[in-house]
Amino acid sequence: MKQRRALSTVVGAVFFLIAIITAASYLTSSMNLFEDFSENVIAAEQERENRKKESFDISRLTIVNNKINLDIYNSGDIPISFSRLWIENVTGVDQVYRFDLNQTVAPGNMVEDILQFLPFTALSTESYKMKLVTDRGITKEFSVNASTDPLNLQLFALPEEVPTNFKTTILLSVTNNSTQNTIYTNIQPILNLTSLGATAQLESSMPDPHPVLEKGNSAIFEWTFKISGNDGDKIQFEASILNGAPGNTITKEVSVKVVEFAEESGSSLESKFLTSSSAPDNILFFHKENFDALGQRQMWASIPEDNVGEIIDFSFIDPIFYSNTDGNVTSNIPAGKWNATLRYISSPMPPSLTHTGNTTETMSYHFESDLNSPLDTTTNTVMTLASGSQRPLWIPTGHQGAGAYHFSGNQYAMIGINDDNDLDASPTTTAGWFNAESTGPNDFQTIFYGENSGITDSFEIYLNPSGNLVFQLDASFTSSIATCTSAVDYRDDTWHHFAAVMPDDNDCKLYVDGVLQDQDSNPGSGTIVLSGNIHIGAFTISPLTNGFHGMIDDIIHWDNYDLNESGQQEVEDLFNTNYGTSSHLVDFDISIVDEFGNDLGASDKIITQTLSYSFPYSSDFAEYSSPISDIWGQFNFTVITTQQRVIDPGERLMIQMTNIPKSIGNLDFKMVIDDTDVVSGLGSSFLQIPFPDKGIAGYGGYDNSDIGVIGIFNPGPADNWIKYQSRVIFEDENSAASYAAFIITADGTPLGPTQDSSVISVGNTVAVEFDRPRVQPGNVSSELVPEGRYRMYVFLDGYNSEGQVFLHTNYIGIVRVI
Amino acid sequence: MPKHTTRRALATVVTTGILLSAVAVMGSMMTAWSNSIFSNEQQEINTAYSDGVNKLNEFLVVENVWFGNNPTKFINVTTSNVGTIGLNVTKITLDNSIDKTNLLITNGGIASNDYFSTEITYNWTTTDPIRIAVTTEKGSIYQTYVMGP
Repeated sequence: MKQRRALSTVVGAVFFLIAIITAASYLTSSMNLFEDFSENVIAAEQERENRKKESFDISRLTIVNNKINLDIYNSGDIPISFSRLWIENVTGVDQVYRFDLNQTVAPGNMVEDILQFLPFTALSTESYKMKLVTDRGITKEFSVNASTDPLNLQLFALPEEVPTNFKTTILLSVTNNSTQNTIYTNIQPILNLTSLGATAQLESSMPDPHPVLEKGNSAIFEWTFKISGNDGDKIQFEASILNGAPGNTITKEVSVKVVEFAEESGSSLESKFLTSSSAPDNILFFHKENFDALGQRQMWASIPEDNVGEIIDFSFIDPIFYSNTDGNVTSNIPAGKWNATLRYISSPMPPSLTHTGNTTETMSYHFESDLNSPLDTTTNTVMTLASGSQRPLWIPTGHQGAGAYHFSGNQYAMIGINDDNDLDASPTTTAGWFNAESTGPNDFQTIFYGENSGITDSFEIYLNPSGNLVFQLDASFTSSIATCTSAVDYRDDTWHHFAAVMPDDNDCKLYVDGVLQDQDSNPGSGTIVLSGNIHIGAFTISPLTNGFHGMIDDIIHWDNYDLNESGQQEVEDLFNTNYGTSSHLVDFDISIVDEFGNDLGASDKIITQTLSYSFPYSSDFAEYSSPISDIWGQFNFTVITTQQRVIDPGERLMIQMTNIPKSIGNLDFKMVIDDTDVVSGLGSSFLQIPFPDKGIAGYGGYDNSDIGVIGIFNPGPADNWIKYQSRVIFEDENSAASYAAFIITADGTPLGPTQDSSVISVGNTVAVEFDRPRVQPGNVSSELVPEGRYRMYVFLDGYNSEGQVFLHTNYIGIVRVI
Repeated sequence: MPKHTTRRALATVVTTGILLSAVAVMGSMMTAWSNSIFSNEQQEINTAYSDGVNKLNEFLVVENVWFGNNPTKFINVTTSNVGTIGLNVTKITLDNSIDKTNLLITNGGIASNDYFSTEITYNWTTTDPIRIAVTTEKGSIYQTYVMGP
């Protein structure tokens, strides 16, 4: 029995073993498969994630010498390899070309002239459709020299009526409203002139092609023409885009409104009703006057009257502008684009960092635009970029979406040293933003460096070979070198803020991203005194050593102040300050209200109620405290209505802008209105609306029971007198019936057959009175101008201090006679 | 008694041998059978796994579509393989919501990072959007919409 049991046990064990081994091998195999499958899923998912992270922008496209210059910026988080380019010659038939590129660009970097070496001849007269393809299959299509879709074109003539031989500015606005997400490049405007009696001579240069027009963006082209002709002659401007969609054109007529004499002077007078001249019916300028405007400010189609505008500080005022009411007229405003153009300037510092005297910042660079000599908003110092291949590359979408300079290890900039940045006395603070590349070298990378003439003193902010940020002060009066070092490797393709403080002689404190990283105190007193130039992006420049790899922005220096010396959180506030595209937040409310400004409670009376709309920092061009010239930045708030809006009799159009200050790092800003000195861009601040069928009620009004008063401004260059026979004309808006009245006094002096006005000096405005307008001026028995809406003109007859005569007619705009 | 004892011993040995042999034969058959089952099952899993993983790693994009006129209207479709494995395009469908055109592809093999381009005679218009669907051998369908210029 024992033997049989043993045998059975052996046999059973053998089978059991076989079963176990078989099951185990099956299980192992399954586990291996499962592991392999998981790895494949992870790899596939990773690849899909990478595709989502891939993002690039076309920074520039031009055609020079039949070669395409294309710059592409990698705005994503991962390297991009461009594998192919498709070019379709839209002008030709079946001309499609395919090129292999194999060009890789790291995140945050730009590859320039990527198509220079393609065996392809590009002509500026032909249109092309191009498509870039990356090795992950992401594509971006753009159109060159053409618009395959109709684009939104707007044509402005400022002014639309000019005296003969005077200039008018033609502005063409091209907005990419393509429904196909297409990017248009190298947009070239075409302006054709058709004489309707008048002639035009181009006084400016032809505008350059616009390099890149992304969806939703606008390009503006500007020409200046001298218009000549007889009164009433016109010239028609027809604008389109080279190789544009058929029929995608827009026209505008400019009229001559002055009879010119052979001896006409170069002087002129600008006549203004209530000190204003007319703008097109769809341009409602913001005015500083508040009468009849519910205690707020006026908004109507009249250009600013003089250079004494108003600067509205949004930290104190949330401005409201009203059009006037008209009890008899309905204005229909068609569906379309509404655009509020704000001319503004940002505060250079949030309130918590705003100081006076010698504790204010003494140097500040934000790189809002690409200039060989970037502007210091304090105007104290001068920065100069290196030239050629050593010039840093301006990135329009740098820190916080605004401009920054990129250094590739062989670029630098210099700042001349003077009393405002020589660190000749403690305390001082130097701050800025940097974005070091993860692919940067394991070597020293200088961000900011200065030294004295004997190279015995130095001041340096740099990354060490481990990527740690170091702030070092080496003063010759002592052997101690103050060194502050962070513990973090900042080569991570991410923006970081630094604040390097010299609180006392030979001491240092280093903050990164608002947090104190290290400090070092050393005995002794005496300062370093820099001379020559500060180097940005390099240690030495000839030869260039320790070049920085990455981007630098917002360099601000206080030569006499420690940001946190009084225990405030100033470094943290500065870290949280947005000098980019979202510096300011404003609520925009555009609506039609009743005559008292009350909400009408109907959705079709609302154009927009947009909350917390952000717009960018703008302060490159002057000091905040003294904006005395044309230094204003421009921001356009745009909203599109899909249905018409109706201003019924007795209603007003209103725009309210409400500043939403940020709780931390807030930047204030100011808007300028009603100022003729603002001539850059589109001029002073205004609201542009779709062209109404009837002009929106303005504030020009005349009571026909009494004499009227208008203002006359002399812009120069000579002093002027006006003569008897100068007059005002009222033309009925509907029937064209005309009424006229003589100007009877000027600046209190009666005009008559034997007496001219007193002198109207250059730059002065005088009030002139006119008689009650009648069918026959001066004849009291002829019909008086009845109540209604009229087009008002002023005809001025006079001569200047050089003995030359002038005859001058100005259109004032729609005027209500009451 | 001893004689009886001897007979019983022989019978026991024989019986034991027979039993052991039978058990061994049956056991071997069952082992072979189960191994066969496991092997088949494993092969099916491997096949399903390969199909699944290959499909997972398959990634095709319709890289470019352009419209030609000469000598007759046609559409040129270029697809590129941005996945990690090769794939085989078997069919391209053009559908303008009124007519559907299927083009069977016989030489549509595309290695990884390579592309495949073909011209399809098609009377396109500038007003009708066209759905282009590319089918691979593994049954994946990649599609895009285009409209004539």
